[in-house]
Amino acid sequence: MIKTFTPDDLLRYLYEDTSVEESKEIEIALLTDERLQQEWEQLQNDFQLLDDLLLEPSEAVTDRIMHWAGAMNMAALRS
Amino acid sequence: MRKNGLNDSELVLSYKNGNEEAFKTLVERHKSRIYTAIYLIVKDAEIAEDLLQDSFVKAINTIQSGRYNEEGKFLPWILRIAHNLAIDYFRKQKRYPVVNMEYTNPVFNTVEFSEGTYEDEQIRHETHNLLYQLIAELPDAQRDVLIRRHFMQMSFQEIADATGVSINTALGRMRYALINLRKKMESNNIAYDQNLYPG
Repeated sequence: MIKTFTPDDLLRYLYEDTSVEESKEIEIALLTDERLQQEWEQLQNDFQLLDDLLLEPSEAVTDRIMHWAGAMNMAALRS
Repeated sequence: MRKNGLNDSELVLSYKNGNEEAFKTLVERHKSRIYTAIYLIVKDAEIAEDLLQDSFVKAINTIQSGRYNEEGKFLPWILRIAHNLAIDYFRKQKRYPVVNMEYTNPVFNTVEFSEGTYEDEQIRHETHNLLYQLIAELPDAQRDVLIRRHFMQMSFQEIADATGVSINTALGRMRYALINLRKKMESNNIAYDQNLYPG
């Protein structure tokens, strides 16, 4: 018998918060449950949209971080 | 995929043993996610960069002093440092993050979209700027869960523990955050376009 899953279950599955066994059950349910499929597609779109919001800091801040990393490295090697 | 085959834990150890390039790999690997998480809280690109730098400086000092013990969990660890610094920033300013609803212009990651036309780029930037505003307008609890789950990669159980609510409440807040974002996008006529957001 195919288990029933809620939108919260799908959300946990989306973020890989489900166990291997539960994930398999959800994947089986997704094959037959049209409502669940629609919700899943929507969640995947949401996930992609949020992922595309990732920002890039400036090169200058990366350089400053690496400058500090180098200075601390030198200090550690000298001590 | 790991370009150089080393995981975070191995890179931290390599840096501790004197290899600066190992730390550079860590910075390149995680800077965007950390910066975005900070930016979503402070809503100011310059302040977010300062706090990003402070986060890595704290991490460097901890690693070099031999106090780093979060084996294999570098990203959650430095994200917690970044989150705490962002909250401290507002405490020092004696104001809460939600007071400032306007985001300053950030620099978007354009690596994946370099083949698009100029018009595509413009539309994408405008859409992203609006999306940041819509996230800012979410109720505090919903925005907090969204930032922690998606950008800080905390599990729902970790979020529940950190915020003193049940896992069902954390899940519900995330779900409503997404539903509210969809509604706001619809009312602002933002369509999800697969051509602009290739999977």
